[in-house]
Amino acid sequence: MTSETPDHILIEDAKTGSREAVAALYHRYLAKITRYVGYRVSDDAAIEDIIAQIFLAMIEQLPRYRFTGAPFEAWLYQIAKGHVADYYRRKKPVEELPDTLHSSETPLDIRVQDRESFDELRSALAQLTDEQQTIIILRFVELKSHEEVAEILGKSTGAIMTAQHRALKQLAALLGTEKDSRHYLRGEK
Amino acid sequence: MDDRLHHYPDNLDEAAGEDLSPFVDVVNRLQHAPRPMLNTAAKARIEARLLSPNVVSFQRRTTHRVLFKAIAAVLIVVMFIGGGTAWASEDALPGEPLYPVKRFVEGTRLSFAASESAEVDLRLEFSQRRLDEFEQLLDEGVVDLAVIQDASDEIDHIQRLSASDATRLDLIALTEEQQTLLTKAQQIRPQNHSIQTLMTDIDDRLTHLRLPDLTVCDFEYWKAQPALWSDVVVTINDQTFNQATILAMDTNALFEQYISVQLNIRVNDAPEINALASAKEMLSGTSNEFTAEEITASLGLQCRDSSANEDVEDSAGNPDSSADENPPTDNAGPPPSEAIDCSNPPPPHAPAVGWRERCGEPGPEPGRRGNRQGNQNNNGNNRQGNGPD
Repeated sequence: MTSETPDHILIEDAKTGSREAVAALYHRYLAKITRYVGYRVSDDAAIEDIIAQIFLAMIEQLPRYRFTGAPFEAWLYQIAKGHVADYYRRKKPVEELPDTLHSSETPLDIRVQDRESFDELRSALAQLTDEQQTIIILRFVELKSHEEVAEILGKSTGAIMTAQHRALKQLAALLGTEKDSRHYLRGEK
Repeated sequence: MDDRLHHYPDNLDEAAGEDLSPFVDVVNRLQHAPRPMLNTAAKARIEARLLSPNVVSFQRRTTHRVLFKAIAAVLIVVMFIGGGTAWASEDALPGEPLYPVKRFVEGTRLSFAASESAEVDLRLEFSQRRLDEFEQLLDEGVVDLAVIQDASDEIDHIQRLSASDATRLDLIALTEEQQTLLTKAQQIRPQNHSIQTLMTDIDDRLTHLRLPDLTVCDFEYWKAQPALWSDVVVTINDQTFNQATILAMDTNALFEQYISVQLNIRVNDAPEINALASAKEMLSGTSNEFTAEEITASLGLQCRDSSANEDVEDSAGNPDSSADENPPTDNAGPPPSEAIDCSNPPPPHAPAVGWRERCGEPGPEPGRRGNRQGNQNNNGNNRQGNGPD
């Protein structure tokens, strides 16, 4: 079982309970899922558990996974999206800006000098809808094509383009050069 | 990664015609955004959780559950045929004891659907049920967003299964009902963020369902046939253009604008219906010089979607139809088998302009190629033209 073993073989092995295959899938997709969850969930302390839950769900749901021609990661992103949505559903609705606390318990490995920029971007993204956030992260952080994003979200490319356009517009306003909005995003008055 | 980043600005093609500078900044920012990773300890902790013996037994439980579900399905079907609980559960509402049975029966019926069209019919029925349930709960003052989300999921699923006009009209009706119900829900819970998010999604879907699936070839067609569309309003990027303006516009400029935005052609008196379908319907009932058959025939030839393969081309209807009414771009290029470059439109992150110029004819905009109706649309294109199928 090498890093080159194709997904479908790993998946078949994982279905039959191979720990090695499960570990290989986990290592293969961990970085992508971490970037996705890292940008979607503003509470650092919750991120590790959510990522674990996503991969546990992957193992649990693998027996039902059928290869449809779509890449495995599309399926995995759907699971990830669902878990992030679950997290926000369960969390008591707090209608305030997500806190950008610099928790000492963060499981994230981020350079100190990047931290502020990361928090700012994440706070801005949090102002968008679930779907808009997913589109932005997949398109511009993961560099997926419209078609790939459409596949993951089960929408048409047209719908993705429309939503992306709106999301970019909103993000541009949120991250705009106006100093006021930047202060606002950092939670400063 | 760096290599991909170099190509990145091309992705912005689709936003051409807009002021790109704010987007360039944002996209740039996103491209260079920090890539969070898990620290080594966290990685190891998760891996230990995944590989713990519990997870293995988890998998075994899953297998048992599948078996259990299969047996339960058979029992439920027996009950369903004979009436009983399953039948009694039909009127159950979320939160009631029999509701899970109701949903389980639905799942079972779906798994026995003989064909895709049977599945579409079932899912249409189920999404209508979800809306009815939501409405009944609403009457009791309860806002259960999970139910309306389930309706949305069904509708999304149906969209992937069927692209027929009949289905689309059904989906428009369902989505409009969803919109009305959510508006009511909003009155009960005015500040609910989730309702607003759902509303945005639904608005997007409605806009998209109502948009005709047009390509630039359709546009050429409409330009070449002004007699057909004196009643048609063309909306590009929220601006409405009348016939005279459209005809006076340079096609290439128009196309450049068109690929950047949604193009919406509507027949005035039937705004809900796809433009070409409406035109055909409208014309078949009038003494216009074109009959519906003539329009279908000319549309069948007027534009070849480069994503259509040869099989589809071979089976395209009306091979002998007159091409007199076709727009200038019609079939100008070589057959797809020879036009290697032209039969392979660039991926969405590649510039579309170069491809079109090389191919010497406007092709479908790549971003729209896999549009709502997806590949199923290829057949429709050749059968009915690039309008609705």
